[in-house]
Amino acid sequence: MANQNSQERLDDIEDEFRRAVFLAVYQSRQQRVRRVTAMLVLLLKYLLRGLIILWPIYVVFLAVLLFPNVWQYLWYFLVLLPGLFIWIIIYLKGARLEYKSYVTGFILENGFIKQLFLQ
Amino acid sequence: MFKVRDNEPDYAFVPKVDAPEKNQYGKSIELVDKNDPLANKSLNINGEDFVSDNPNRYKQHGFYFNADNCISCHACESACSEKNDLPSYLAYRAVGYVEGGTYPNYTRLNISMACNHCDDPVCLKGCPTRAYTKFAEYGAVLQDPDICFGCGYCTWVCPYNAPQLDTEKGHVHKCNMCVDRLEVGLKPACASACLAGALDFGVIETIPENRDQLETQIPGFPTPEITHPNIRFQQTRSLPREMTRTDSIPLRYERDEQGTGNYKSKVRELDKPIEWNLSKLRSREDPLVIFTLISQTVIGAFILMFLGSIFGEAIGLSALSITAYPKTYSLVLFTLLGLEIFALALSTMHLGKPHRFYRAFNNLRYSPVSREVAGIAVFFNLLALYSLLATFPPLLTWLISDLLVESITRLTGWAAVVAGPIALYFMHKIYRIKARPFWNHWQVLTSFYGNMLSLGSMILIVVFGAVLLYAQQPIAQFISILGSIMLLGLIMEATGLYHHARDLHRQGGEGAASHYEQRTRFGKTYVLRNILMTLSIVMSFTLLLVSPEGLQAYLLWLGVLLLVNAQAVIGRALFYVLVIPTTMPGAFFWRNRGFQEHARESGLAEMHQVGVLPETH
Amino acid sequence: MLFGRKNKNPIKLVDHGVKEWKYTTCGYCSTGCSIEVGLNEKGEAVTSRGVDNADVNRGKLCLKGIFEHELFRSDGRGQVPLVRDKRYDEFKPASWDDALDKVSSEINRIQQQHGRDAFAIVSTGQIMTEEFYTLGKLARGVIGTNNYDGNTTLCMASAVSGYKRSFGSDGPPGCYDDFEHTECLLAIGSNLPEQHPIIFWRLRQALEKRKFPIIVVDPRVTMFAQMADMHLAIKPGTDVVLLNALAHVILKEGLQDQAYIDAHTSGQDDFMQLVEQYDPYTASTICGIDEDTIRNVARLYAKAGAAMTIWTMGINQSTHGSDGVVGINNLNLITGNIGKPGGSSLSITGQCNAMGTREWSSCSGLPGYRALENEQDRKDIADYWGIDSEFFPKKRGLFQTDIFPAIETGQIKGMWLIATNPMTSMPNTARIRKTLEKLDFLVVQDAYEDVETNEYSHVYLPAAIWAEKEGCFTNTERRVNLIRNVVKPLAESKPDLWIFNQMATRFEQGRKIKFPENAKGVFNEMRELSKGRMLDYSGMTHEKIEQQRGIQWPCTDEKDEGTPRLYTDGKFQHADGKAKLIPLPFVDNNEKPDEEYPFWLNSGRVVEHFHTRTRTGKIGNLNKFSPTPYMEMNPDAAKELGIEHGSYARLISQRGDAIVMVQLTQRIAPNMVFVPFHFHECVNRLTLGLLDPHSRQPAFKQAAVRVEPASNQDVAAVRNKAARTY
Repeated sequence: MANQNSQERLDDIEDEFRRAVFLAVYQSRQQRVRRVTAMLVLLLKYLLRGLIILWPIYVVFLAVLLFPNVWQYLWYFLVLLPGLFIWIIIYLKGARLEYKSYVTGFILENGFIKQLFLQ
Repeated sequence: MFKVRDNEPDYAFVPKVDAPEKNQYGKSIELVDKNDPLANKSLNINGEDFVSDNPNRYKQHGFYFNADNCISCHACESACSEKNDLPSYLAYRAVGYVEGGTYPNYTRLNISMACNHCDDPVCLKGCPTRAYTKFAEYGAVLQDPDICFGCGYCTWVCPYNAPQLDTEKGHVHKCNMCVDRLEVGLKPACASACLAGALDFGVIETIPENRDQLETQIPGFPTPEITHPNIRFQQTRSLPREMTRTDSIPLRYERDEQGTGNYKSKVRELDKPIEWNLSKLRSREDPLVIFTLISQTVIGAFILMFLGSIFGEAIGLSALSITAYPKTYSLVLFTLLGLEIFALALSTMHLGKPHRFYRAFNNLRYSPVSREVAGIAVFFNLLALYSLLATFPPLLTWLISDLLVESITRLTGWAAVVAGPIALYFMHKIYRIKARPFWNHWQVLTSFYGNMLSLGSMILIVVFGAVLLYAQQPIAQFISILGSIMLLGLIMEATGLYHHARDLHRQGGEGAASHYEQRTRFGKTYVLRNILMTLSIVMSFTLLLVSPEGLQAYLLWLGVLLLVNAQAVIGRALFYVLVIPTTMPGAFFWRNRGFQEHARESGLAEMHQVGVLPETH
Repeated sequence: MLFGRKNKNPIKLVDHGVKEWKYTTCGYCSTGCSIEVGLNEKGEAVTSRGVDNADVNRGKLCLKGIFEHELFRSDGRGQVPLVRDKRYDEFKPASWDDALDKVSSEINRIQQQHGRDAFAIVSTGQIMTEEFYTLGKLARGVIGTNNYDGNTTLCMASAVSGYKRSFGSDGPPGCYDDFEHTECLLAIGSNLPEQHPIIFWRLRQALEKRKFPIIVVDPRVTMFAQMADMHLAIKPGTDVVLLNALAHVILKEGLQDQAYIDAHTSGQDDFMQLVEQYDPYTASTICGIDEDTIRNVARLYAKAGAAMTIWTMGINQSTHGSDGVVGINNLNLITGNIGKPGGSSLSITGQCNAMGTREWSSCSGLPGYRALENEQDRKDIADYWGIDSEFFPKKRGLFQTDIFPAIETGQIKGMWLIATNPMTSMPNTARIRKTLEKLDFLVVQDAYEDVETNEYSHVYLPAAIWAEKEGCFTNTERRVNLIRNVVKPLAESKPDLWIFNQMATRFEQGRKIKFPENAKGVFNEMRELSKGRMLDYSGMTHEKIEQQRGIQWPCTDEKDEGTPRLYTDGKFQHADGKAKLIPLPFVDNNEKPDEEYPFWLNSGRVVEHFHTRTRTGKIGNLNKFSPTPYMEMNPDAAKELGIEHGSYARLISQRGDAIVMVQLTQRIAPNMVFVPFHFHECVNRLTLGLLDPHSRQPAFKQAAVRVEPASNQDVAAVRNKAARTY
């Protein structure tokens, strides 16, 4: 991440005063909203990465919604669920790890969405 | 930059000597011309922009090991571990030994091995994420743990046990030729640390002072033909004709009496008892057992159902046509899809870093793993497209004509029928590893294709058989056709396994040692698998002859299918667990698989300083 | 790059981030390598490397030295003093004052009730020379017990005794440089590649320049034996016979250096008369080396222009240890191989500062190689310290291996152990347990709280380790080298010097004597006391030592540099200035294998561990090479007993039993097993440890055992795991 070296990390700041200043910004509403957004961006990134495998599930979901007599197609969706379940775990784990590496402890600057996405 | 000490002794510097033009395999030692655009670039070590002025920078370098002198003092291993901050459960360099003779005429040959930075690095070619790079600088083969996702394939293909899969961190790392030291003219830490004049380093094919040989092999070292490793040996001391290992691998090394005097690996029959060891069938590769079996089942079931739906009418498989039982047809399609998604998820979880799964496609050019993943992905996508179009034509009919949609559906189905077996072919290529003789046999292909047919037909028999029974239709012919396809698959697999056992036994070495393990450590399990297979074949044959009808037929065939299933799972588990790679001999505790297992079982591994991670999965 | 990625990611290699290097000397074995410890920004020790221009190791380190910086914060370190009333009570943390008060009051109580000698002090070979000297002052000059010894009795006492008997004084006469000049090396019971890898490297360097014959005498085929020109697989406990036979051949064939014998030795007549009885044939029936080989070796040794003998525990740890050393000295004296380049009888010492305790600790005498038996010496020291010379006993007291039986019989009531672990290192563990139970009061002073001897202690004093303090060590070749203080001691642990000084203030006599506060001050006292003596330190200072990377004593003010060899002028330390040729009659009192116990039990060491593993057992990258006790056994012998490679077996001797993992290898004789001694509750449960009459050193390498497969492998595994906490 381009700004990783230039950005300060909360854990690395030892000086009490600088810590306090950092925390003031870190805990502000804007930053908290940004962090939630960041998590969603990361999840989206993983969803897109796994698209090559999971796209049929999305289409089935769509199909189930769009067409009448939803109930008869529910089975088709249900048999796909166990696999989907494990994939979601993988995505969550990945998103969580990237969140920990690139978001926790950092102040998110403008353009953070693009950076997280391209990381 | 690595700091050279103020009074750095002479032994620590890489000697500046003349080297021949080509190495013993005919390859040029100068890796790139000085005017090449790749030359004179910084190695970018830790972000530093430094270029060494060493005139030999683009020559292939390698280790020189004098096996006459090594005393197994562990200084080289420790210097490496210290420099690279390695934990106690993992090391880039390891010293093992082979021993022979009778007291007091006893000889121990110690062997220190790290990475040989081979001319033809199989690790680099095999890696699906392209985490490896062979640098023109020094010919070093370096691996990047940040790119790696921990599949461990490189650890399978390397004959010298160089890459280390760190199960705690989830990635592989390995010897980096201390390129930071090389850039300032110093030998790697291990060679600088050697206390016995055994381990040395320099431009390949140059002989250090006071030495005179440039051997490419010593007893215990695998054939250099696999990768053309950049290591040379001196071994002049007389050795006993037979040398054995102290780690638990049932191998010994016997001198080829006639001819070259090289040592060949042979089985060492250790009088082991014949056991079940069912619990040891479980291993780190469990997800791959399931993944390969499910993929083969899915591909087989789909091919049979699709082809059956088109051509089935003529031979009594009309139940499979789309119009006969459309809901069942679609449900089977989606179940196959769901199974495959599950299998893919499992095989992804097998990675050290599952969330890096998307990197698997990075090395389609060389890596069988990349190709297999791509093949399965292509098959899967076609299967998905077919399933969606066959089940929900309205998805497209609002856009294009019904006829066109039907054609497209048919086309994707046919494409999937072709893609599936191709994917399985790539899947088998993964196991055709020269360093793993137990796997490197065409039996893998017959097993995979055989399973495809036998397990695939199993799904159709179970599902459609039940549907037919419920609809009170005759099932004898239906089951017989599918049953004979299943039988065909079984026979294919059995033939392959028979030849495999015979060929292994003949070729000796690690393959025969695996077979020995199969007959002893897993002896009873092996016999069970063979019995189940034979029984399945015999019973199928009988049922085909007798051709029962109705519920009776269904239940009888169900019985056979359970046997088939059991033998497939046992067989696949044995396949993974039995492989003895051509690894370097270990020592009594360190790099001894038997001790590692014992440490985990007895709880010794709970102490971190024992150097064994408590869990493998 | 040739193939792979086109765009280079940075190559990430570990950088320890060293900001400062500090000079130290290794705290493990007595090779005495100079180590630089690297400190990072935060002042933490993050790496070690050999000092490039140090003469001993020239930039190299063995595996223990490579990881030595990990010691400072390893597991099991003591952090606060611990005190309890009864040894089976729970330990309670205490302040230093309270703990030291308790110790001094107990010492006083015991001495008042039972006499001065009822309190024993047993120290070590691993604290600094300045600390040894201070402890000597405390033990001899303040507490005044004559039952004061060190654990060097378990390893080097025979060498000390042998040197004193032959040359009149302790002090190894040779140096590592002798390898460069010698024309024949005889190594008896020394396994350099595993025990002193850097000394082996010095040997290897000499061999690369000029090949000379190497003869190794060892019952096992060690790596040293394997690379030797001749390997003599001797029967355990019979070295003296071999040495007598070699002397016999040399004298018989007239190969001795008669001029040297006449000029510099005394007692040749008695000696030659005794040696006459040990003809090669007779000798071969006892020691198992055939007569031709004996003759061959003798001729090779005597005809060489310069020949040297090295030895370690194989000679020392037997009932004939002292005699064995004398035998080696005899051999070298009759061939004129003392005090010349390449000609030496060089005892390879065990602990990093065993030499320091031998020189300065006053265990066996008085500081600076002085003797309690010598009235002038008593007066000199008493005057220097400022006490009455009558306070000193007129001869030395009990050795460590006699102190324990004295506890057993109730003569000694209290003991202070410093940096040693007799629970694991003394023979016959069961007896040691019973012995320690008898003590009224036991103080253990050690860097590690989990040292097993603490099971029986009443007070535990946490000591600083290695370079958490400053001072000197002396190595095998008499090189005094410096350890700079690298990091602060952990938590409340304190340097041993501080502890001794504090203890001294709690005694009336102690308050009268000067106890310098820091190592430099103590070193100055040592310089003054050694001036003009054999171990002259007067030309040394800490700074000079660091600059020269160690100075071999004697180093006088005028010379300003060390002395590589002793006795170069043929003048020895006996009153007549000559060395003694001492006849060595051999009586076989070893515990030999018999029908009930058919195997020799040989114990020894492996390169990855040191002593009782309180240090190396915590460092994963060392411990992993031998993480659990094992034994080497011959496959042919094992087959008969149904014992399998990698399984557990039970060893039984007349003292007890032990469980070990079995390593089958042809490197050991069919009638012998070898067990590394490092592990607690293992080989010393079996050893007898019969004592040498002169040196009181136990025979760790001669005992008899029988072997059986463990009846239940799973139970054996549980038992094995439960026996140790690390």
